[in-house]
Amino acid sequence: MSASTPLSKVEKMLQACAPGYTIRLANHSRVIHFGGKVYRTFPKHDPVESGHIRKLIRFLGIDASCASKHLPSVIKEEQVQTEPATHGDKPSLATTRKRAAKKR
Amino acid sequence: MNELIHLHPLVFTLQDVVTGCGFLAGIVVTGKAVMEHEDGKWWMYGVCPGAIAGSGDTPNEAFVDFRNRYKEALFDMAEECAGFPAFRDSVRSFFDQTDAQENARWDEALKVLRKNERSISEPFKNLPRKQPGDYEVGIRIDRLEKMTEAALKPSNNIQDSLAKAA
Repeated sequence: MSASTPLSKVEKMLQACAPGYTIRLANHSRVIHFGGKVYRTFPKHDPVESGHIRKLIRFLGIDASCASKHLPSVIKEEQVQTEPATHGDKPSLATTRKRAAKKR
Repeated sequence: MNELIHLHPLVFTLQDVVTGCGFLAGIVVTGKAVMEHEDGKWWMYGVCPGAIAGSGDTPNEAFVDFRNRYKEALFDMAEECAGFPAFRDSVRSFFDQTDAQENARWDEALKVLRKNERSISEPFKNLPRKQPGDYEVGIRIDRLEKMTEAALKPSNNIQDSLAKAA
């Protein structure tokens, strides 16, 4: 199993970085609302694999620097970018993420 | 793992039949996703629909997990039992909520892939390729029990498919 994080830590991050969020349990998943968006497929099991948490943060547009402070082992600031690299000379999004992976 | 292409832009099609409270819905989705290797596993992240991720020890396992999570999301929406129009609206909203950051990653991954065609690794190398004109991203939601007998035909059946964008 890949790296995972207790749900309680995810909820603490949401309280700090996604004020006003709501979470409810559906039959198959947790449903999380924030900023007019709905994340319907957050796993029910606890702990939660890091990939699901990273996806939640990206989808809901949660501030990466805030999330990385609360979940440093799950998300690094450079992993969540709002703008893709567009110039061939500059590091692409892919290479930036690759470098982030190498740092880990 | 390949040094250049570690983020794979994908296109998928899935067909489901879901029973709700008093209705039978047929859903066909053609969406976009990216796949990458993180934390020792393969992850498939949805672009549209955006609120979904699946993982596995192989790319195929990640696709199967992604597919099952998508199906479970449909089941959860059906279990809200608010009638077919509400179900249809929920499913459409689920699909329409694109992940903007993931979409940017998909576009960037496609650019990298087009510049490095010869560096595509297995098993992605052997996936079918879809050019932009080969598919239309979208979702179709039909109320099957209200369809006419003539409209219900075997040619409506669609296999699950996963392709790499080209």
